[in-house]
Amino acid sequence: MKISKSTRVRDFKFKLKHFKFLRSISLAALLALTWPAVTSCGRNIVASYAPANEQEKAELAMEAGNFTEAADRLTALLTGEPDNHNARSLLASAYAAQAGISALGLIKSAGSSSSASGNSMQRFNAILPDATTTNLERMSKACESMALIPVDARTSEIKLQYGLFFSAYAFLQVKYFTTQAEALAALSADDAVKLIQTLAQAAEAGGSSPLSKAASTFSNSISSAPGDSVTKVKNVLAPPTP
Amino acid sequence: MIFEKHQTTLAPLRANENVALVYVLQKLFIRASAMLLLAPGVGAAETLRKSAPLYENPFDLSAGGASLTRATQEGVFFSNPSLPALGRGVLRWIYGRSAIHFGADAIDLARSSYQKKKAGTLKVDSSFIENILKTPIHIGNDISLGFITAYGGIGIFQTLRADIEGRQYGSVGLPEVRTKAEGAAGLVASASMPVGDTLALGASVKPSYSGETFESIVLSDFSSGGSKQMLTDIKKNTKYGFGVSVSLGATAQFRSQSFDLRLASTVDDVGQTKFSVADVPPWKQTINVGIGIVPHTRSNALHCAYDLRDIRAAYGEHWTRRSRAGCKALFNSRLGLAAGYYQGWPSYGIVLNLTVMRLEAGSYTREFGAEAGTRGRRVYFVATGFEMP
Repeated sequence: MKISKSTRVRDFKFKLKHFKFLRSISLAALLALTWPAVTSCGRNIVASYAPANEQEKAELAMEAGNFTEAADRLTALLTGEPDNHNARSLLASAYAAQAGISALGLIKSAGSSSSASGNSMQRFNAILPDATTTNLERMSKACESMALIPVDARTSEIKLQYGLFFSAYAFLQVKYFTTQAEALAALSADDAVKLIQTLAQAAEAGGSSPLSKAASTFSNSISSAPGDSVTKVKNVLAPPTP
Repeated sequence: MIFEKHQTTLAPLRANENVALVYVLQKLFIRASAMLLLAPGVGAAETLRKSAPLYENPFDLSAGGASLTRATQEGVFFSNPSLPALGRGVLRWIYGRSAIHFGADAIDLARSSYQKKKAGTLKVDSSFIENILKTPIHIGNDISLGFITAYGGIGIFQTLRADIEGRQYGSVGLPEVRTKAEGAAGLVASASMPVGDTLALGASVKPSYSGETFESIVLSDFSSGGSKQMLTDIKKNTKYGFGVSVSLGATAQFRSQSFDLRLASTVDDVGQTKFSVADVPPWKQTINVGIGIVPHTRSNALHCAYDLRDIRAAYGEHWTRRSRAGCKALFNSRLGLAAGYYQGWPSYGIVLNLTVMRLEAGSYTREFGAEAGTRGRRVYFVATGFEMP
């Protein structure tokens, strides 16, 4: 059958139109896939649509060293989920990290310090950050956060962290008083009681951590010392020379 | 002095314990891999696999994993068993493939460790451990062998993904190491048939041993001499079982001289896949849909597709984690280029078909976070194999 010229022209025009349409679709598909790749620089292009997981974002902020951001996220999260004990424990970590204390850091420093030369006081000073009032306040907040977790809700991990942070807080207080003679001289009953209580809580937490064990030993030493709270603390921190 | 007493107790992570930690990490990885290879298992309250297919062809992964409307070789068994019915001729492929996958961060760690070892400065100390805590390690492999015709096929497969990820601040703030591994090995058989000019139907059956393990270990366990306990825990938490997974697939294809449109839907783990071990959680039934457009010439084709897996969200995943999108450009059946977004993360790959031998390489990102875009880990893969005809 012979196809007329007009039919062939019509077919050609149709194919041409069809080709342009296909080309447009293909280009659009390619652009849709490659454009985000160019602009996203390897990032996830749907992340902004994903539901926010505040706890995970806080963990990521912690890993990135953004402890203030992590603390803010966790505080907001805990407002809506006050029984989220993991988040509360993580918040304590964020406060402690702001003070320059992390569980890993304590383990590492303690390990390396134990093999270093020098007296025991120097080793403690090397483990802990500067005993500034700011750091003491941060550690106080960390311990407060840990203490808010009900005893029956404390897992073995939370107990471990509880012991570590209370021990670190107690030894930071010790460092404060032993490195500042005037502070020890002016030691108030409240400060002495706070130190004794912190040590007692650290000892109470038990646990296998060497720092917790050290706190327990230290707590016993203060308890067995004679006198009132202030005298007990002063006698142990700065024993009178014979 | 009171402090002398403290000093004796302050030695949580001594040198020998560092060595123990590294030893444990090595053992842990080898043990997890071996257990899954030799006796693949399933564990945890909910399967780690979730809405992902049981097996994913590496080249398909590099195209964003959008494989419902077009899959590569053995991928059709697992993504959409109706696909072989579309096309010309009877014999599709006789194939064999072996692929390895490795994490980008692990490569950097290995390279720096090698350089330090060469320079004699490699020390197994706390900084080494801290590096491991910061560097996720991923390995995986796939092996497959079989043949596929227009009416179905049969094959064997084995797949494994294993990860170790350390976090300085874990879920409660303590340093922890998470191990995660999943694997499967078994047989696969499929049947497919065309229905009219535009529709194809298919079904596949996959009797397999499948398994997974997921364990979080707090770092303190190492210092308290819990190495053996940890390995025992991993062994205890690695559960495995035998199950038969059934998938159904349907694909509609609208063809023209130079443009095809494909719509596909599959049902995976029809009626749930239950395992021979009672405490192994079943794989839930999932329904998946996909759309693909294929502008093509006689010998070249560009396939762009989007898949939405588990449309009823049986596993409760957000749609961003169930999305796959990507393009594959195929030139003269010799060269293939792929790019896409696997759960929103960019991926890319290349395949060379050298008559019989086939080489594939590429990269994609695995999500380790709870939601898409949180903890992406870049993974590279290389694969080699044969293909006939």
